[in-house]
Amino acid sequence: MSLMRVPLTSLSEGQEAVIVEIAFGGPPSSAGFWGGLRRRLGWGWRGGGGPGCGAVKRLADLGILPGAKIKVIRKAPLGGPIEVEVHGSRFIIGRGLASRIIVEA
Amino acid sequence: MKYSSIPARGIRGGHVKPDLRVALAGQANVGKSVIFNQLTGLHQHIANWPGTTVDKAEGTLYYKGLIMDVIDLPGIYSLTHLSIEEKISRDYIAREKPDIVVNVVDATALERHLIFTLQLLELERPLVLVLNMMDLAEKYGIKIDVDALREELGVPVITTIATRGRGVAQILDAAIELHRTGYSPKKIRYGKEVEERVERLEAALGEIDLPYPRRWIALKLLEKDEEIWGLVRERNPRVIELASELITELENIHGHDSSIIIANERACIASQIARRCIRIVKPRKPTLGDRFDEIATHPILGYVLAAIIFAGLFLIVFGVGGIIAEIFEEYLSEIMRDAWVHVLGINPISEVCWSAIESILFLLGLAIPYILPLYFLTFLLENWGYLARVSFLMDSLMHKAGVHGKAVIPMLLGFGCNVPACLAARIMDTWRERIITILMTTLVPCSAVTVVVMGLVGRYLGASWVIGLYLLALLIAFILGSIASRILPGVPVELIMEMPSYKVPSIKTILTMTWIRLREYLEIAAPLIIAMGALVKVLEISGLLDLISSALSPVTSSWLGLPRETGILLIFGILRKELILTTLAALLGTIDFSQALTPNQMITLSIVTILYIPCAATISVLLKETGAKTTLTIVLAEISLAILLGGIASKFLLTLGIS
Repeated sequence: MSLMRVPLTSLSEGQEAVIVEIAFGGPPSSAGFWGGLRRRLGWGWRGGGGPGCGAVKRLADLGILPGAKIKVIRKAPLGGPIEVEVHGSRFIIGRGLASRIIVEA
Repeated sequence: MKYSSIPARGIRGGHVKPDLRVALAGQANVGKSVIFNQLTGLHQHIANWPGTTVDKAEGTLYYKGLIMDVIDLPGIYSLTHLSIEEKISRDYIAREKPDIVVNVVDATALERHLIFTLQLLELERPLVLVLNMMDLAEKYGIKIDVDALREELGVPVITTIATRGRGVAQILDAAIELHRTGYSPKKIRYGKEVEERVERLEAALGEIDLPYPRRWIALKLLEKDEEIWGLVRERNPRVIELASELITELENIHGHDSSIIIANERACIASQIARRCIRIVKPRKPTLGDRFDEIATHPILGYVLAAIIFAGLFLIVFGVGGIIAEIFEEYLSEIMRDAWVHVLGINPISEVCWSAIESILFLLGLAIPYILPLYFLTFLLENWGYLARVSFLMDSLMHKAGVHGKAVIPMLLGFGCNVPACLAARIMDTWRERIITILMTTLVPCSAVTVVVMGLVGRYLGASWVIGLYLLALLIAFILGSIASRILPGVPVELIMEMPSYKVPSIKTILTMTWIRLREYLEIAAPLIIAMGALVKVLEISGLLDLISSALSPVTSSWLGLPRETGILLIFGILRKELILTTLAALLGTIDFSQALTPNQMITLSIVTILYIPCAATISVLLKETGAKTTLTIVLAEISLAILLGGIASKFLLTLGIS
């Protein structure tokens, strides 16, 4: 059986997998009504690098990075966060971020 | 030998130089503050790190003839500078160069914590490694070979069970010993590709004028650390060019971002060390906590449990608080008032001074009955580990307002009192998240607002109207939060937090934290509350209050349809919102409000009370936490909103036939 690359969010509770990649988000949009308002206020986006760029580093510091074994403990209802176990510690990760964690299962 | 804490202020006042400066560093939920509290007791001094609202906890203790200064660095996850807390910790270690860094880690999750330990070692300060929660590790069947670990890292390793005070004194012994004998850690070396590039960067850096170790600077350059990148560019732009080249090479070899490559190297070393030092003697069986989690995080039962727990919390707070508050108001205040009048008589100056004193009494009357139990119970839930479960359950809802699940904690506290709630917004990771959370929290009806709403709407119109008003307030909070999250600068941060295992709460730690927070609350709120109390009295005596009230009447009477005196009520309400009800009773000469207010007016006044300007104590906290500009924006926005929605509600209710 060949392994499939899927986002962490598609695993079911109790399933274990190995992280292969953490995908970066695209640059933040300044389009649309709110983006335009933000641009006019001159607030733009601080930090840069797009949503999730800092989060990738943060995940890495917790040991959640390519090569690590990750187990889904439970998923919160209504598109809420996912509880995972990595290196014997448990974390909760927002669903959007978890969908960028690509695993092989 | 026992260690004894000594008053920090005494030392500071006497300018005694400590013999040893110790910094406690570690991730969140490792029991670091328990150890800090065990060491320093109540003799700790909480201030802010310069230019931030992050707590700086410092204490002094006396042990084996030495005066030791202990500083508790904020609980963080890494030194790869992301949040304010992380910047503070690494700057403190690198620049202030404490004599000893004590790294507290969770023995049940050693491998992950070692990643942080490796980062600390890179800062090259003498380090003592403390494996805390050894009892839990044993329970989980995790055996740690302490000698092997000592050997691997070349640093002293101490094991503790901090909640029971076990091993805490040995930390001090190890620190003193290390300071005397000198420090010789093992050199931690990463993979060949990384090491080669670190060496080239180190050579290029030469004698650069920065307080950090050279190897550390080189690593941070490769990790694309923005701050270090900027500092080096100012001093030697050629190094930056080299660093960019080396990063491209690394990324080409590994196909990942360079910061991930280095994080990976650390994780690999941590895992190698862990493999040599940790033995799992029995597989982890589902613990009682795991079974409890089945309920606590259940899609239905979880919410029911949370509702029960928080309903219980507020029942205790209001129940106990109500009794104690009555003693304050009925007896203490009256006895003091009588004595005051007896000695100083009734004249304008004595009245203004009395008003200031009354404000202090009020502050204590709020702090002791309500805020004290609120803090105690919240810290109890946090220490136990339950609050993380609430964040887990509420994350998707809070996302609607553009913040993540942690924001639910400050909002829940807001039902008790907005002051501790706004202070609790510090748990949010970024400035942006903090502002949104604070904004939403100030709209949560607190206990004082509840007094008004219950006294008017609850008493005369029934509970369903009260619930309706509360839902309206929460809806507005969510809408404003959502708008703020769209226009505020910065990137939305998603929830990443540890799910701590349940622990037996340490009452000593909870009591200490409660006391310190309570003191902080009094220190922040007292000046503004006393000044406002005196000011309102001056306005009242000089007759200006009536003038202001008439000046406001186009808004209060014409637009909102409320009685003419409402302006006075609302000004008193800034001091504390329940004064709206007591002042109204005083003006009417009766507590039967149905004689003076129509149902329409009761609802409108309640809406205005919920929404308009946070009270003086909350404004004090806003000023401290967010600065003058943001505070003014929030205050003005909420006043406008109160006027706007109050008026609309009044007109809308008329069309429904409620006059």
